[in-house]
Amino acid sequence: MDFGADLFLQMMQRIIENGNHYVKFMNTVFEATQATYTGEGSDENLNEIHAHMSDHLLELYQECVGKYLTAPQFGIPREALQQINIAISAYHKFMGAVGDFLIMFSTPFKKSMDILQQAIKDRERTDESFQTAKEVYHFAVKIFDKEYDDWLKSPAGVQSVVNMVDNYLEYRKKLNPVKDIWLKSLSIPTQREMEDVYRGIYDLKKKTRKQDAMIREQNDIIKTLNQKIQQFEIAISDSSHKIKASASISAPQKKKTKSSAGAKKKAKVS
Amino acid sequence: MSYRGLMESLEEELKQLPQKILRAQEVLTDNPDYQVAATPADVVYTEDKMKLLHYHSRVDKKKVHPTPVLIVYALINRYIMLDLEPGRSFIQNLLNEGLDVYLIDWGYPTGADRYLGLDDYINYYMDTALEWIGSEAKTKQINLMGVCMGGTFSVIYAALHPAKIKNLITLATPTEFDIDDASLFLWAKGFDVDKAVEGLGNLPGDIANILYLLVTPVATVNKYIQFLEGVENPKFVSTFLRMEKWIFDSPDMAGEVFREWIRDLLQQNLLIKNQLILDGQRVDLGKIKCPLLNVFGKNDYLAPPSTAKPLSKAVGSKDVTTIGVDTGHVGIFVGSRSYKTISPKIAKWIKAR
Repeated sequence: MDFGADLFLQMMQRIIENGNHYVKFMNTVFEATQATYTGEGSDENLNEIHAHMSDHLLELYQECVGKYLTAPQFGIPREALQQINIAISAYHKFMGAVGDFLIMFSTPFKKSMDILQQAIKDRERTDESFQTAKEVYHFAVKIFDKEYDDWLKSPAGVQSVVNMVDNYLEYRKKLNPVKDIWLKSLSIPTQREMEDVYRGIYDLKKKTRKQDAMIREQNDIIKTLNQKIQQFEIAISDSSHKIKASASISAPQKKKTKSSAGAKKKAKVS
Repeated sequence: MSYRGLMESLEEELKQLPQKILRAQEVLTDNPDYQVAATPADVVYTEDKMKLLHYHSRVDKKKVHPTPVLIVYALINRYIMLDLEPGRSFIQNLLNEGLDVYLIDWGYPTGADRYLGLDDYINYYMDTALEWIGSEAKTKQINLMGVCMGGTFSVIYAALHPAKIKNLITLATPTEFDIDDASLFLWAKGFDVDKAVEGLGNLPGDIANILYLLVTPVATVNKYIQFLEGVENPKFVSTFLRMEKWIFDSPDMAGEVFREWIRDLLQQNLLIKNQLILDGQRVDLGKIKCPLLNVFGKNDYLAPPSTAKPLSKAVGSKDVTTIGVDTGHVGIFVGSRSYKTISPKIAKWIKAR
C-alpha cells in the first residue's frame, strides 16, 4: 500500500483547488486593469468587475484562511483560542468592508472629475473661462461637495456606510471576549463585570432619588400638618384664655360671698 | 484664459505651497490664542457629571430680565461653541441684552454613566436644574432654551412639565426624523444600535466625530487648504483654532441614552408622533402651550429645515414664531452676521412675553 503517493496526491489536489481560487481572483484583477486602460470602465462595468473581485477574494480567503479560523480548537486554551480566531476573522471582514467602502467612495470622485473637465471645456468657448487655478479649485470644490453629498444620501452610499459600521461593530463585539480573557488572567475586572457594578450603582441611585422625592413629599405634608396643628393650638389657647378671663370676672364675686359666709359663720360661733 | 495659462497658474500656486506650509508652522508654534468659553460663570450646582453654570451679568442688576434663561446643550460636542471667543459669543450677546443666563454642562460621561437614559437626563438632571434656578430666582417658571439635541430634550421636558416653562426656545432642533435630506438620519436608520451598545458600551466621541466628518468629506479637506490661505490673518487663525478645538472635543455618549436616541427618535420617529414614553408618561407635544420660538438654519445639513420646522405645527401653543436663518448648523451661533442679529431677536422675543 502506497500511502505516500495517495497523501501526496491529496495535498496536490488541495493546493490546486486553492490555486484555482487565486487564479479566478487574479483574473478579475486583470479584467479591472484592462477595463481601465482600454476605456471600457463604465460605471456598470466597473461595478460588476468589483462585485466579481469581492466574491472571488472572499472565496479565496475562506478556503485558505477563514475556515481554519472557525475550526474547533483543542486542549486547555480551547476557549481562548476560539475567541481569538473569531475576533481575527471579524477583523478581516471589517477590513474587507473598509476596502469595499473606499472603492465605492471613489465613485463620486470620478463623476465629479468628468463634470469638471466638461465645465472647463464649455467655459473655454465663452467669456466666462477660468482665469486662475484657484478659480478652478473653488469651482471643483462645489462640484465635488454636491456629488459626494448626493452619493452619501443615495441608497448605495447609505448601504456602504451602514455595512462598514456594522462590520466594525461586529468586530468590536467579537473583540470583547478576547479582552475579557486577557483581563481575567491579570485579575482585572472585565468590561462586563464593571457594567454589572455600574448597573447596580445606577439602580441604587435611582431608588435613592425616588425615596428622596418621597421623603420631600412627606416632609411637605408634615410641614402642612404642623402648621395646622399650630393654628389649632393657637385657637385652643385663645379660647382657654377667654374662658379664664370670664372665670376671673366671676371669681371675686364668689370670694366676696365666701368671705361674708365666713364672717357669718364666725359671728355664729362667737 | 487658455489651458496653458491655467497650468502656469497652477504651477505658481504649487510653488507657493511649501512657503504657506512653513508659515502655518510658524504661526501655530507662536502660542496663538485660542481660549474658549471665557465668559465668566459660576458653577452653582453639581450632580454626578452635570454642572449648572450661572453666567455673570453684563448689565446693571436692575436691568436684568427677571425670568432666567436655562440653556440646554446637546450631548454631542461641548457647549463652548456658544461662547467661542470674545466678540463672537452667543452667550455674551444674550447677557448684553440683559438676560439672566444659566447653562447645563453635561461633562464627560464615563463607564459609570453607561445606563443613563433619556428619563435621567430630562426628568432628573434638567428638572433638578430648573428647580434649583426657580428656588434661587424665586420664580415658578423659567425660559428654556435648547440647542440641537438639547433642544429635543427641552421639547420633551416642556411637554412633560408644561407648568414649569414660561417660554420655549429651540435652536437648530431636530424633532421630525423621518426625512431623506440628512445623511446622518439616513445612516442611523440602518444601524443595529443594540449591537453598538453591546460592543462599545458608551458611544465613543471619536467614532461620533468620524461619522460627522464623513457627512461632508469635501468640506473637511477644504477647510485645511483654506487655513493655509488665511494663515496671515490672526483673527482667522484664532477663530479656526477655536472651531477645531470645539469640533474635536467630543465627549462619549452614555450607552442607554444613545440607544434610546437612535431607536426611539431616529428610527421610530416616536416624538413627533406623540408616541414617545418616558418613565411611563407619554410625551404629548400638544401639551406645550407656552410660547415657542423655533429657530433653524436654512443651510443646516445636520438638522435641516425639514427636521426642525414641523415642531412649530406640532405644539399646542398658539404663540409660535418660526425663524429661518441663512446659515448652517453652527452659523446661528458663530456666523459672522447671523449671531449678531439672532441674539437680539431672541432677547426681544423673550422680553415681550
